[in-house]
Amino acid sequence: MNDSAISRDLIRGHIDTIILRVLLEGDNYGYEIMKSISSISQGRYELKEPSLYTSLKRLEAQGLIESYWGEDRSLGGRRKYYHVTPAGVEVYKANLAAWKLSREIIDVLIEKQEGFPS
Amino acid sequence: MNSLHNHVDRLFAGYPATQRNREMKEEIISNLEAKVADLMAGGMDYEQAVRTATSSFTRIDGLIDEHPPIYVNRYRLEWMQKVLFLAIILWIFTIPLRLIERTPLSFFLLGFVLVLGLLYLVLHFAWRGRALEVTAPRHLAAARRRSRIVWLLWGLFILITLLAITALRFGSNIWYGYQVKIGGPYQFAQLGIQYAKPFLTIWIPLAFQLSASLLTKHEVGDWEA
Repeated sequence: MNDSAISRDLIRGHIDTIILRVLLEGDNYGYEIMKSISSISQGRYELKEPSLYTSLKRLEAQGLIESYWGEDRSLGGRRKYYHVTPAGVEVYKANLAAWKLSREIIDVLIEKQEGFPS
Repeated sequence: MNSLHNHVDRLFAGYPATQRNREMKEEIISNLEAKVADLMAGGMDYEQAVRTATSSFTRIDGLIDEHPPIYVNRYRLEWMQKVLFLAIILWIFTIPLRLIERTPLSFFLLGFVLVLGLLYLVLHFAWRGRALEVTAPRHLAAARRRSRIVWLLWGLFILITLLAITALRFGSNIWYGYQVKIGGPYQFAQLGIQYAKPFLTIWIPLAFQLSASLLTKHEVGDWEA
């Protein structure tokens, strides 16, 4: 129970990057982004709506993504699609590199290695 | 899709219907519709799908933008125009006062109208072509709060002034139980004017209220910026 709370907190810090990653596969709208995140994580992580909208708003304000209204009027409401800007691509690459480096460091820091005095 | 709209309407209740909020609402509704359709494709019936889709989404506090950027020059010009219009109306009201009272009130107002009009014209031409200039975001809620406080203060001012006028005019009559006498139509008009004059200050709270309501009107929409 505590485990899942901790991993949710860990993931929360990377939602912006995760959304950028999903959008790099193609322009998308809110619900499909949530669905992609759920399916990529094989159902182990569900993004909640408030986090989704907050993150999209932040990314758009930073100029990392831009939005446009879709033409498909499926059931009445227009869908708002998001698209990654060149600046967004750069930030994604930087975040990915930073994450890989941090993961390495965290691994050696957290996991007790054989042969080291404790 | 009625209960879905109701749910989202409830989420947005109490927030101003600014363009940004309307668009946010539309986006949220279309996403929830997609979610409901998806859940129904998975075998849920409509009612249950709506309940499931909306259950995880009960607050929008952090999503609402209280500081939208606005077209500041357009906003200022329209505000000035409205205040000018208000001043002209008040000035017209005070013209007959000159027949009865020897007060410079109506000349003051005329001066105010002329100065404001001149300023408006100057800025109108100076800002030509810069009408779409966007500035730092304004705080909508603060503007509305300000307008409410000014109305309240104005209400108090009116109440106190009316009481003061009554006390000065009729205090002794009431105290000693004398009959109130009004000499004639001229005196009656004078009395009326005395009571009406404080109401001329209504332009102050109105100006504040206008400034709050025009903020929403000149908000920069997502697609105009």
